[in-house]
Amino acid sequence: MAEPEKDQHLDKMLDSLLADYSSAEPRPGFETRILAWVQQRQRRKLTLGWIFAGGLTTAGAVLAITLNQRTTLPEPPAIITSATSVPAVVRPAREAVRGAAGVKLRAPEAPTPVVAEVKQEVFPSPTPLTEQEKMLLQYLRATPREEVVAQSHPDKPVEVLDPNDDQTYSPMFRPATQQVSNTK
Amino acid sequence: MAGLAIPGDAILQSTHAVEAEVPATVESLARQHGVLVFRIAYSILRNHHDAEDAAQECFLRVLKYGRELAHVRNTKTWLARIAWTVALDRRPRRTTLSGQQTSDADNESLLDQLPGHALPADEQLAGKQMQKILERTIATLPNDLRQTLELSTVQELNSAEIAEVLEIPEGSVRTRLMRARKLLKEKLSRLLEVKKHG
Repeated sequence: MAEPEKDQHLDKMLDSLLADYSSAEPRPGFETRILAWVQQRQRRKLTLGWIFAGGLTTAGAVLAITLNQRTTLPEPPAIITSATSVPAVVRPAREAVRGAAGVKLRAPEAPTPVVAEVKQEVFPSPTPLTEQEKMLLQYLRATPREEVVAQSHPDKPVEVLDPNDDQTYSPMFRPATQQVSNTK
Repeated sequence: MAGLAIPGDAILQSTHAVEAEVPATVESLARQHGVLVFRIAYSILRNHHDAEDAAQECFLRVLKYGRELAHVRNTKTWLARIAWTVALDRRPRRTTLSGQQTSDADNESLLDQLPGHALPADEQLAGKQMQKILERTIATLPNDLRQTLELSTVQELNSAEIAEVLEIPEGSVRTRLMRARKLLKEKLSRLLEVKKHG
């Protein structure tokens, strides 16, 4: 076989072989299989993501609670009705103290304990409700709002009395005129 | 075959895919370019099962990097490049020199097994043995030539798209293909000569 013919023949052979080289067809249902597999992986990824997120949230919550418990301020102290343990300042006893010149100095008063004011954490200091306030609160809780509104009456306007008007101004409350001066 | 370049954002719009619905995009791409991905993987791995596995992994990567699709100019070559990378990652390593020597010896033994010694060689071309010989011969080519040639055998890719996948100029693709073909012809010619002379 001549050289050019041989070359041509080889070219044809190579073309034919290369054309078939990657002409493989995937098996039937290839796309469906791929999509099913991808979806399965996606679901697994989502599930793992949710589990991870849940775990992270729980850990965060536990951490927050722990930190909160450590940093929570102590309960405000109960209302102090008596003097506390604040040290009292004692003034010197009343006795005659004479100066160097023999002049009798004014004797100081008897020692009086000075109680320092204790500042509360919360101002105003919480006080327990009185019986009346408790009853009012109970009534407001038990009664519908409309009924409460219906039963409430606006305050009467305050009447300003004229002191020069004898009819409206009672002589009982008329201010007394000073007749004699107490000063000498 | 010249492929129609479809920008990534068009795919996203056509499938009404927003960020949360990436699987819809994957589905669209799988239906549109599934065979291309498979053939690219097959051209490198030479096995149906492995090629299918590679295709699955390719679409998984699409799922992972789906948000990049909006910035992709040509989804076909983007997908082809992913498939090519995945398949290359899965291809077992080979030794260059010893592999070539073994391959030549194997090819000669394969030629001996070809049916009908009296028949002219062109009648035997379609046989699976010749395909195996070609595979082994291609495997002995230098990496750059081999990769270009393998991608060129995928019908769905033209030289411009191959250039985009390989990130080289189109002229380089043509040059590499010419060199690869020349080398292949020399090797095949030598093999056929050996067979002819017994």
